[in-house]
Amino acid sequence: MMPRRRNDAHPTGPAAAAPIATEERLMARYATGDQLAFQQLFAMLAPRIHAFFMRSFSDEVTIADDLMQLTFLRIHRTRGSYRPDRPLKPWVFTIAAAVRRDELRQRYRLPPHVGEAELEQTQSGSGPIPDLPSGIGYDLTDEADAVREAIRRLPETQRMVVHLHRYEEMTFEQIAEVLGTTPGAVRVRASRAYERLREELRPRLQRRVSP
Amino acid sequence: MIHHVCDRAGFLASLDKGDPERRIAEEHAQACGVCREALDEGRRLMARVAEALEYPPPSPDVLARTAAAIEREASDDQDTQRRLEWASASGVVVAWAFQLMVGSGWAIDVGRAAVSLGVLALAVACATLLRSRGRLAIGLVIATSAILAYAAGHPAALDAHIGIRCTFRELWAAAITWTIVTVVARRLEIKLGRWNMMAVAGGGALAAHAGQHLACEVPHADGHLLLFHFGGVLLAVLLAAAGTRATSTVSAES
Repeated sequence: MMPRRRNDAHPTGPAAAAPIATEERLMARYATGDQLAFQQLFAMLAPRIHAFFMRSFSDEVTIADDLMQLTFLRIHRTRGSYRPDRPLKPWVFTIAAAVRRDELRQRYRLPPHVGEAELEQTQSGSGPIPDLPSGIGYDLTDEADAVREAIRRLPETQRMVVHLHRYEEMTFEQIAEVLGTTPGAVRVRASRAYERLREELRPRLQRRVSP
Repeated sequence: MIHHVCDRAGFLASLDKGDPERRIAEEHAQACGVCREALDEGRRLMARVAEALEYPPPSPDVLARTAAAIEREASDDQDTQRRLEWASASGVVVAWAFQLMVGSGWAIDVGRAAVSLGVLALAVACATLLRSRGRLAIGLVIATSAILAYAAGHPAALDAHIGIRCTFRELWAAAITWTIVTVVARRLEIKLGRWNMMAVAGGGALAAHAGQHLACEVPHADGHLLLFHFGGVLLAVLLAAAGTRATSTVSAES
């Protein structure tokens, strides 16, 4: 079973534990060709980028594997454009978000110039979220699995905002930069997503009264 | 006027404690039981979401495959860079040789040949090893050309006609280096930045200046060297900057 995190209302993603300055320093060293720095950075970032694609593509492991590899190749090719005085996380996830957008455009047969707003419209008109592939189903009697399933049933564009906000601990401004949209649009998506989750999970959120 | 927050409680609980919107909502909730309960529900939702967001890491096989793909690409990059460095070095040497071929007024002795070859080596270094540190390379090119012009000269008359010819020879030499490197970079699918291209053109022009140290029709004239030889190097760097900017503007528009 997956590890449990501490139980408060504040962001609890992996960035809370990772020393941020180290990531930026490692990236700066990697950009100058330091292989050891690449290995350390890869160990730090790979699980997070993989989780980003798992969330986006509803637990399709093979797709997440391929897109993670593609993202690292793009990071490698554009590493010279990284500025060490800027935080690494938005830079990395902007690349991952571009890979995700390319994949979604391909799936929905959309032209290359299509952005987040059009993707959101397309997704809202594409019908209900499909069930998980057989064998991967969640056990809905388990509290965390029920929440996972509720998150999975959110529209993809809302799911990504929840993931970047709660798991990657990004601000709405950073999420907007990553997804190529406005902070206002991100807030609207976040608001819709959290209210929908609250609605769906309400019975489980009721305060337990001691007998 | 009452602003209930029940219908946005999940979102409000997701905001930082210092967020003004959340602060206002919490102040309101202190006096409103329904909204207080809704905000509590929102906080519980955030706790559940935080627990549920974790994913297991990708399999070791996938990690190894991805790392291997990047390492392969890094190794290919090194080969490509080496090929580009060879092309840049060749371009600079060709610029120097071109200057010797079109020059006249030969003044060859061991001292002059050593200076010319030394400056050529520096020009090669600026266009290859130091290319990625474009500003440093350009600074070195300009400083070396200025020192060479100043140190090699003595007071003499200024022949504008021949001087312009010297400047054009340096510009031609810079253009040869620039063209060789651009063609090879395009074939290798490497995108060179503006400072890189300025360093390359500057390296070519400096090599030509070094060549003119051995073959110039007006040797050792102070004004001539500073105005036309050093001026040629400076002009080559500026033209490369303008040329690269024009190219990137065209490609951005197309």
